[in-house]
Amino acid sequence: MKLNFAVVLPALILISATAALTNGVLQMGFTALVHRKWRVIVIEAAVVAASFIVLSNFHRLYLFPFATRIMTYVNSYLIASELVDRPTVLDVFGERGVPLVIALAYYPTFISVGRELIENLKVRGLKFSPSKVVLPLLVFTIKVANELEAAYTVKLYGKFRRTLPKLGLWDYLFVLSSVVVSCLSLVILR
Amino acid sequence: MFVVGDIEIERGERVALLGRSGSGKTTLIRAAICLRDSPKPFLDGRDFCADPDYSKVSAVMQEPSWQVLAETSEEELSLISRYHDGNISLARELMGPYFSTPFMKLSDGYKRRFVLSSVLVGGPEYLLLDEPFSNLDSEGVKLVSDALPHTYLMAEHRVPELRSMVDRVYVISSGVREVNKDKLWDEDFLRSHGLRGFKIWRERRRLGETILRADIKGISVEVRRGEVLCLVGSNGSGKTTAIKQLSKRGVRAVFQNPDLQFFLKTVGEEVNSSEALSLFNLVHLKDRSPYTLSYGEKMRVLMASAIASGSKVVAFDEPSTGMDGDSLISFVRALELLSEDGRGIVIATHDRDVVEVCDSVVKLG
Amino acid sequence: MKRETRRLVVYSTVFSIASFGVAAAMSLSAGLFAVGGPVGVFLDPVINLTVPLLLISIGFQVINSKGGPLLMGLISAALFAVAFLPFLALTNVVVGLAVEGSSRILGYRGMRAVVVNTALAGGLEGIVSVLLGALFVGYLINATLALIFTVAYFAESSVIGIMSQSLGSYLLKSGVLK
Repeated sequence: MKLNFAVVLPALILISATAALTNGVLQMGFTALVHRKWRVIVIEAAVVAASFIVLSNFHRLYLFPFATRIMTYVNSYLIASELVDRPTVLDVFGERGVPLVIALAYYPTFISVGRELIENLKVRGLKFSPSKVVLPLLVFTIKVANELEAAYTVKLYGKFRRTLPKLGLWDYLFVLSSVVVSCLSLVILR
Repeated sequence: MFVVGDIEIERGERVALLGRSGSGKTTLIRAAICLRDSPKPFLDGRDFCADPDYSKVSAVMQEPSWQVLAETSEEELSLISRYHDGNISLARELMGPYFSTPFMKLSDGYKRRFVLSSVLVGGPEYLLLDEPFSNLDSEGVKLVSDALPHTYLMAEHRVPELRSMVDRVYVISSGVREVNKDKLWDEDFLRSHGLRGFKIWRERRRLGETILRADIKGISVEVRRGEVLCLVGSNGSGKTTAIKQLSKRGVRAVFQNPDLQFFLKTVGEEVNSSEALSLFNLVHLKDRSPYTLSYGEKMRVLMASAIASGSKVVAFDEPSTGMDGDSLISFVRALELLSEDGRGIVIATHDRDVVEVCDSVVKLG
Repeated sequence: MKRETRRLVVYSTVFSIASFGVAAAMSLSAGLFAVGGPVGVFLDPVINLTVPLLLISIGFQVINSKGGPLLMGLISAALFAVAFLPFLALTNVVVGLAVEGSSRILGYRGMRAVVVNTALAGGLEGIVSVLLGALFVGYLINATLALIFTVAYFAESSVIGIMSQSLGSYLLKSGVLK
């Protein structure tokens, strides 16, 4: 399932805004069900349960909504990073969104390089220091920029054509559910 | 006709541009797509850079991972289609079942196909390719060569792969000149121009006692003093994993990308041993930044650093990626030094030239 | 698009994602929760004020042209917006604007320019993200704590600036950067 960015952004803003005004339980549950990362859900449930127990023992239950709000924001991050159909970012930002789409394509590359560098440091038996890690990273980054400049040049020629967002069934369902959850939370669990 | 410097390409022609690493092949290709000011490219007699039209001339650079614009082929074409129309069905055909597969999960051959297909959708009349077969096994080479259009300029130093794929040949060596295609089989010519495709010989020594026993993917492996052992297999057979496993057992590993294995500012600091610098003929480079060296020199620095570390066994993961003929000779000589020093050497490779110099071979996958 | 503009866009993009990706990789290595997401970033700006800040700072030097810092700030902001970390998105807009301003006066290379640009980038990134992040969960940090954080972030970032100038100078002198 991939969602249109033009829909995800306002929906998540609505969810977050209403989470900030309510106790955030419904929003937390809804966003967890959307991303369905069960390991994360289990950890979140444990954190929230522990927060509830500790805060009620110390008579500080008024702080409990902070825990559910944080979980809501974590879930929103996961939805945004895993479920958004990246080219649809251009439906919102237009041609200005092109660097963003490209940047997102290189996110796994730089994560992988970051990890590889730390592993290589260990293999060499060298102690971590920022300047040691940054040097090879810089050289790599400059090389990537150099080659990417060529690719950008030969592939993205012509005039950019902005198109209207094309929404699918999942987009409509997501928006509708976000609105329903937000309204319910304001009415029921305030 | 497309002309850049002394090179001419007619429509329908397949042209090779040969030269050792650092000879200027990449520079020439970048100039051809107007990313450098000279030499100026001309298309059908007109200055191409005055008004570049990349639907007519396009290029695929050396490293596919740094040319993608989106996570999948499908996303990339969606992005490209916002700028110009193209033959999306060609890309679908070339990528087959991997059209929606994230780039990082593709095999090396399909990574190159990804990049090639995203350029071919624009239907360029002339395509320039910079080392398209780098790091590919025979299956990967076939995947790429099957996808090539009818008119191209291919810059390479891996001569055996392109013998049947070109009509004319240019060589860069203090200037560009056209040579007879027969030269592709001339070992002296290849050797003298720093190209690949000649037989390389390594002096074999008597092997000593076993210094490492390991279990790699269920196969029991023993490395003896002075031995060069090759782990062979196609891309994806687990060679890199095997080297990583060995590195956890105290084996000094040298991985594929040398630039990600330098952490200090000079060659001298990286090697940290005057003896090792001397042994690997690096003394004159000791104050240089390791990042500015040629590929062959970088490998020598890593090998010198490995010998200075005192590790009994040194392992290499695909060391010949990006190596031209000169670098390969230099690498084999350095292997002789390591072997003479009584070290054990393990090389994970699919390169036939490297397998030739091994004392023993273990097949993975 | 003109070649110079394209170069500016590509280099700004790559340096922004390099910093963003490495910050995530370091958070993952440190084992922080939520895949290097908002909690990790919120709780540990120190991770972001070392290698990621060095990358950004050297990015300003490499790009060495008007619009570089602002574009890097905007692209980073957009990355955080897409990842739904709005407090970091806003932070990066502020940082981009501030460094664009300072670099127009001081330039992009040289000790003074690099230390000031880096201190501004890191200091503002640190304090603004902490303040906005706390507000995001409904908590207002008190003035004394905010002042302590501010001094700490600006001090750390200045040190990183000195490191950055040394590395940038090395890249130029050694020929890695032409």
